Amino acid sequence: MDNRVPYCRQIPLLLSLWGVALLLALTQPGVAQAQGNPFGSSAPGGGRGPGPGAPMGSAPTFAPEGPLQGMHFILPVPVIRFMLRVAEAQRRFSEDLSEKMRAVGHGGSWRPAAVIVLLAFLYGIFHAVGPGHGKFVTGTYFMVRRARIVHGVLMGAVIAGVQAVVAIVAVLLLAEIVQMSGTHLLMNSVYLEAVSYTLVILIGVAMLVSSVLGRHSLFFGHSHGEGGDLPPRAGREMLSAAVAAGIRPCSGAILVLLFSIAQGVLILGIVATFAMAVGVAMTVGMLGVSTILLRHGVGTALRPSGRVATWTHRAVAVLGSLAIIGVGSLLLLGALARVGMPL
Amino acid sequence: MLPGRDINSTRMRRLLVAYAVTLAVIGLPMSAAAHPHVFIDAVTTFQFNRERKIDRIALSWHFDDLYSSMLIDDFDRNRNGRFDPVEVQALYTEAFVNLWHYNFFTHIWVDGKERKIEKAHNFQAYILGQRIYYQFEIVVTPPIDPVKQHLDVGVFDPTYYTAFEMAPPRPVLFSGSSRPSCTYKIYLDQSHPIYYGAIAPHTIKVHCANG
Repeated sequence: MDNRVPYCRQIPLLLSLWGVALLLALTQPGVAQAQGNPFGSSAPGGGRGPGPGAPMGSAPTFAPEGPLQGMHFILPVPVIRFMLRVAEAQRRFSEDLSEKMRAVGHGGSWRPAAVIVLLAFLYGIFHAVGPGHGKFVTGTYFMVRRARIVHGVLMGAVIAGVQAVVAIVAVLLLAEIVQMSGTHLLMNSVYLEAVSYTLVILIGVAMLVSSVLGRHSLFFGHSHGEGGDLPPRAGREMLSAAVAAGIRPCSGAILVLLFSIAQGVLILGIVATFAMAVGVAMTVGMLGVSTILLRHGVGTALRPSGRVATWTHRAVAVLGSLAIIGVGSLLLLGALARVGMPL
Repeated sequence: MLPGRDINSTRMRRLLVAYAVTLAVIGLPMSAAAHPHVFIDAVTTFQFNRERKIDRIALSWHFDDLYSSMLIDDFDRNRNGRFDPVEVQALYTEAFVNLWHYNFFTHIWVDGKERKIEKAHNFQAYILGQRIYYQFEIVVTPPIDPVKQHLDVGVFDPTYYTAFEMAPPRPVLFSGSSRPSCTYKIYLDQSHPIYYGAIAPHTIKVHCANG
């Protein structure tokens, strides 16, 4: 209980960091124009939209994301502008990265390699900002299970690391050895997606079972020092969740690897993939750590005792597990619905 | 449990707010293929017929470097640095036709009602520099009279696998010898959110007047 205060101090800090990032994006509507962005003329809410009668999902021919498609939900405009900016940044990093990689392939000088690593790392950070199943699993997991800060960091690292390794193995095996075309490789990665989501569902089920049985009857906000405060199976469960979420390779990494092969610098592509993974790990880890801190903070503040704590915890655990199962199923259905890839 | 209750409840309230914020942030991430992987600059051309109505919308897509490289690798099969007719045909059947499922990423609303796009015509693909260009046309039936009808056109991928941008410096063009005077506005289209509400596409609103 003594470590309650330091934890709580970090929460406002983390939240303000998020806030600052959002504010930065929010308060610079003019910058985009200065950079030659053609979207400057957009007037939020000003233009008469095509009308509420035509939500996107209503078109029967849109089946790409399967069952989640019909959702008509929108985040506040500043968040959307932030996300558009994130996409812009990704594009810039990606274009710079390919240019440098081409230069190495053509010129033979390896001097741009350091820049490539940096660009790939930044690309990874931004690439992982948007909604994604890895962050969903991480966030939900740590909302459900008590964990130490280091676990949040590790979860991000394992997810990103597995993703990178799977992408590398897939490209080496399929593109290099089997000589599969890139188009087909990307198309077939949907099967790995399906495997990943199936595993996520299974982990959700396992978590649900152990939550219902009360094997994880951990008290909110209690911390009994360094060792022995997590159940013996916790590590294994965490690891399986991370591996399950990570087994789906990132298309961005596959594209970078294919490009490096085309330029004759596969090694550089592999290095860049790992650099990207470090960036992804940081973003996902950040989310994991934030969730852990918040969970701890809420537990400390509410400080329920005895049976209330047990039942509250159990309810959260059951709901969280159900969320993982539900979202995993929707993602699986979505993956199965996608027969080909978009382009 | 012993320290002052009032302090605790303020902190608790603050934390609950924080908790709700995180819930919102975490609750969203549900997308399968997160984030854009492909970037395309698009130019949209509205073509007028003799009756001063729009009967075709021509699209030009300019792909990013990474994706262009992959498509060139896959489809420039004789490695002559350009797409020959037979290679364009392969690209069409193996990669482009599938976009029918996605309305060719082109969304046309006439008076607020979306038109399903049945077919894309005159598909062409080029390699210019290191990049790939797609060009194709959408036949609009019945033709649209933008003087009398509200016309909105969005070029976007509802899955956000591909991020479209309006190609600078002139993303929207009007063609045809007999046409009204038209202007356009590009706006953040909040009525058609994509990517689980985290992104709103940029949509073109066409304004025309006789004169």
